[in-house]
Amino acid sequence: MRNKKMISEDRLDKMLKNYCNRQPEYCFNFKTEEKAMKRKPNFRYAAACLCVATMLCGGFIALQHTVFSENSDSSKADLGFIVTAYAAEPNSSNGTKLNSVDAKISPFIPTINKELSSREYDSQGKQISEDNPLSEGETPTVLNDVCGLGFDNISLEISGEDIESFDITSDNGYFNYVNMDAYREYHNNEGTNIDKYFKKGNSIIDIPFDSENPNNSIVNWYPSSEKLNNEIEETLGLNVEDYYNDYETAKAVSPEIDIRLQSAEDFTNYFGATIKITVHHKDGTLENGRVCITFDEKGYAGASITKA
Amino acid sequence: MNGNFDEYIRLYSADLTRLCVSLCRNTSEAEDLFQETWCKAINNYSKYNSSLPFDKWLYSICVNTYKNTSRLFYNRFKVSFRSEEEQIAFFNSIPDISYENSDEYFELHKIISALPKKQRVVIILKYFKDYSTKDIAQILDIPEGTVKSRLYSAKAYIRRRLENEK
Repeated sequence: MRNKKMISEDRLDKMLKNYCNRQPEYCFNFKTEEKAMKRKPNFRYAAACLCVATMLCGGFIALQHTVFSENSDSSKADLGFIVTAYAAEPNSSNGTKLNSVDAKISPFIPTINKELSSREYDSQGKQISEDNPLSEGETPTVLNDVCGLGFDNISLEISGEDIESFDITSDNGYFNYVNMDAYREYHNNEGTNIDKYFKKGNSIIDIPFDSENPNNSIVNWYPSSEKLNNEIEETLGLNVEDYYNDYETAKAVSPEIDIRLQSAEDFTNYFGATIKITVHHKDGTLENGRVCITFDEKGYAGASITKA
Repeated sequence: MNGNFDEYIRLYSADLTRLCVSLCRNTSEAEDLFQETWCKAINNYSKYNSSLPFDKWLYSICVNTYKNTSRLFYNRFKVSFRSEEEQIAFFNSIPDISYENSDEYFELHKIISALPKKQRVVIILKYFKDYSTKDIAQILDIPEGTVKSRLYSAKAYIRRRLENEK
């Protein structure tokens, strides 16, 4: 049996104040284009860069075995590039390679838990209302315990030889990319024009490739609920973002989510994506690859990589 | 103060860092938000109305950017510390943290991270700078009554969750 301890208003205020006034050891710096991107080692995603090439499905992006083979005799025309996909687990500093047994990327079906009716307290923190279940027709004050997709993002690392730069686009979700060298300059930089170091959107072009610092060739992809949200909003004619703040909206939205997310195919339909990667080689040639993000019957995300 | 953003950045980056760190679930999200906020402030400075103090205008951009980043409404339960070091640094930065109360703050962190964005924003703004409900209403451009309602709901939820965790 839990030993419930009452928390007074003053105590809660103090905790919240302490929490919101915590002083990080760092102060972010706004970055400038005036600082050159220096080639320094970056350790931010070091753990995520240790894995080997991903599993492939339906075809290979050219010659990944060749790249790793010491006895390779390939010409420049045969060189391709490698895409390695990781699941960035929320509570892990190490990216987990997709489609491995340990990749915990499981979507959940949202549910609504009925809350007990609100308690009332006096100024000393003593409860002055009875603790009763909701009565007929009464709505809880706050929704909670609504579950959802359990993964943050998928990291895509581009590697290979003689690569000048690469472009990346997605038909769903969005990318987030930061030049890691710039992050190493973080505490020394100030100024304007962040765009050179920080890019976000469903299409990012001209990402420079740095063979000495593979961390600079990692792009994070995030899923988007936009497709699902738009559909539900059109169906119900309401704002899905109110889902969390309004019980009646949640009651209306939740069955619509349940209907739409019955299987792995449904999750793939709404949250999956086809990502196109175009590599610009130093000799001016282009090479295209495709990464498909899908979900299996257990809800694990997978990345299948093919030549485009 | 004119449009010399170097001075603005120097004066407000520390507080903006704190706000971003409080709003976001992890450092990299906070850094992204920080950068985007300054970008937008610089690009939209011509629209700045000096009747509103600059810090409130800046924080208004920050919270609106935060609210609009990703409509992925499945993100609620991702309480992310990317590494043990990040988790240690997080808790070391809380005033009055001790061995006895660290679990409580960890629970508080989880609970606040799970709050709906709209409630989390008002809670953070309230305790980050001791803003009044009127100030918060001004920053968010919403009625003061809405601010009060969200604050009440958020605190009731937080208290209930903290008590039930013990």
